[in-house]
Amino acid sequence: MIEWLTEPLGYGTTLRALAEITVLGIVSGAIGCWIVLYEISYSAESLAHGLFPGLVAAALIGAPLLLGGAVGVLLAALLIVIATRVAGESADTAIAVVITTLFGAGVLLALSPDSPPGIQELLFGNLLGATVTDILTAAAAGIAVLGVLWLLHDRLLAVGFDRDSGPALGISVGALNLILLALVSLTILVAVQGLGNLLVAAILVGPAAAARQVNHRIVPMIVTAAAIAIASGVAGIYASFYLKTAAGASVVVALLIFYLLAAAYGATQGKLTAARR
Amino acid sequence: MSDTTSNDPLFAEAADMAAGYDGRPVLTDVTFDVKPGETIGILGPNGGGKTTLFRCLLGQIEPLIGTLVVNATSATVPQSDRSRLDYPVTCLDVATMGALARLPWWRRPGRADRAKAGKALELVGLGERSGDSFGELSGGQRQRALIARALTAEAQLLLLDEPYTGLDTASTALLDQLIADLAADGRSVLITTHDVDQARQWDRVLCLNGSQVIFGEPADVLDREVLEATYGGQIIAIPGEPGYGVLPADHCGDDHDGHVHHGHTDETP
Repeated sequence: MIEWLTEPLGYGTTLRALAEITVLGIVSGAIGCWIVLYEISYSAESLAHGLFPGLVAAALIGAPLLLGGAVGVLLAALLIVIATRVAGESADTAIAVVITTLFGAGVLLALSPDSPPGIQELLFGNLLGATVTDILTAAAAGIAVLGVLWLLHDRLLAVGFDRDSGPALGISVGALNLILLALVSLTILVAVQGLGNLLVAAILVGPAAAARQVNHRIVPMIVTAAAIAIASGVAGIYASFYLKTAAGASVVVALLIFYLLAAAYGATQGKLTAARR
Repeated sequence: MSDTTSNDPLFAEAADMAAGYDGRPVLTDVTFDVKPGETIGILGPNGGGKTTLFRCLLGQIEPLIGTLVVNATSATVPQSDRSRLDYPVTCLDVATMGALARLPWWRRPGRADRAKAGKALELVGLGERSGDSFGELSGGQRQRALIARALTAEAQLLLLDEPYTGLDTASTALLDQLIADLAADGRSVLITTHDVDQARQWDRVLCLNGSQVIFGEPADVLDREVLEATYGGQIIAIPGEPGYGVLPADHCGDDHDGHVHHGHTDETP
C-alpha cells in the first residue's frame, strides 16, 4: 500500500502536478465559495470561455497569458455592451452569443494546423506539464487573491446575504462585484494551464458546491471546499498515474464523486432542508 | 413612547421635499420631522414612495427639490422574508454586519464589534440563539436579528420596512415591545405598514401616496378621508370595531375582513 502511494512521488512531473493542484485547490476552494454564494457559476464559466481567444492570441505572439486573458475579458465585455445597447438584444442572449462566438474563435486559433505545439493545452489543460515557474506564478496570484478575499470577507458576506442593504452598510455593491469578478478572472488565468479552459469551471464551482452541502457557516465551508479541491486533485493525479487517464479530466471526475458524496450526506443530515423550508 | 413636545434636537427634518430617480420625482411635497425617541408609522400603498423616503433618509439619494436634514445615524431593517435562508451565516454574523457601517473599507469587524453585536442580540431577546443559523430562526426572530444588525451599526434612526409581515400574534407582541423599548432608549423608529390599527399606536403617522397626504398624530389625522386619499379609496368599515380597515387590492387577496393580514407563522422554527 505504501509503495502504491509513494511510487508516483518518485516522478518530478507528478510532484509538480501535486504542488500545482494544491495551490489551485486552496485558491479555487476559497473563491469558489463566493462564486456559489453569489450565484455566478454560469458567469464564471462564461468568463473562462470569453477570455479564451485572448489567451490563445497571447500564446501565439509570445505575450504574457495574463495580459492576453485581460484583453479577452475586456473584449467580451465590450461586445456584450454593443450587443445589448446597440443591437438591442437581452443580456442573456448577448452573453450567450458573444461568449460562444469568442470561444469558437479561440478554438479555431488553437486547433489551427499552423498553431505551435502546446497551444491546445489551453483548451484541455496539462496538469502533468506544470513547471516550477507555473507553480510559483499560481502561488503568487493565489496569495494576492486570498489576501483580497480575507480583507473583503465581511463585506462579501454582508452583500451576498442582503444585497439591498449594502449601501446602508457603507458598501459599494458594484465595486465589490467588480473586484470579485477580477479575482475570479485571475484565478481562471492561473488555473487554465493546468486544467484547461473547458474544465477550469469545475474546480471553481465543484468543491464549493460540495462544501455547501455539509456546512452552514462560511469559514468551515471555505476550508472544506479547499480540502475537497486538494483531495480531488490528488485522487485525480493518482488515477491518471495508474489508469493512464488524462490528469485534468481525472481531477474533474474525482470532484464529481466528492460532490455526489457530499450531496448524499447533506440530504441525509438535512443540513439545508430546514433552512430552505 | 415619546413626548412629542420635546425640545431635543430633531433627528430628521424635511421641508417641501421631492425625491425620485433620474430627475423624475416619485414622491413630492414631503414635510415632516422626527424627534428623538419617537415612533412614526408610514402608511401608503406599494409604489407610494415609502422606499424612496427611506433611501433619502439613508443618504442614498438626494432630494430633487426642497430640503432634508438628517442629524442621526440611520439604518434600515428590511423585510425578513426577503432574506436568504440558505445562506451560511449565524445570528451573530448577521448582527455583526452592522459594524461595517461604522468601519472604513479596509477594516474588518474585531472582537469589540462582535461583543457589541452580541449585546444587541441580547437586547432583542436573541442572546441565547447567537450561534444558530439565521435560516433556522422563525420569521419574528429573523426580524429581531435584523434589528440587532441596525443596533450594532449604532443607528439612532431605525427604518423598519413592513416588519410585521408574516408574524403571528406572539411575534407581533414581541416586536411591539421591542419598538417601544428602542423608543424609550432614545432611538427613533420609522415603520412602514399597511395596518391602520397598528399605526394608531405610534406617536405620529406619515401618509404617502406619491405625495404627502398628511403628517400628524394618529388620533388627529387618521380619518376616512385621509385613508381614502392614501390608499386610493380601498377603504372599508369594520363591523363592530372602531375606525376603518385598509384593504390594498394588491395585498390581501379575497379575504375581506378589513385588516391587512400578517399571514401564517411561526415563532417555533
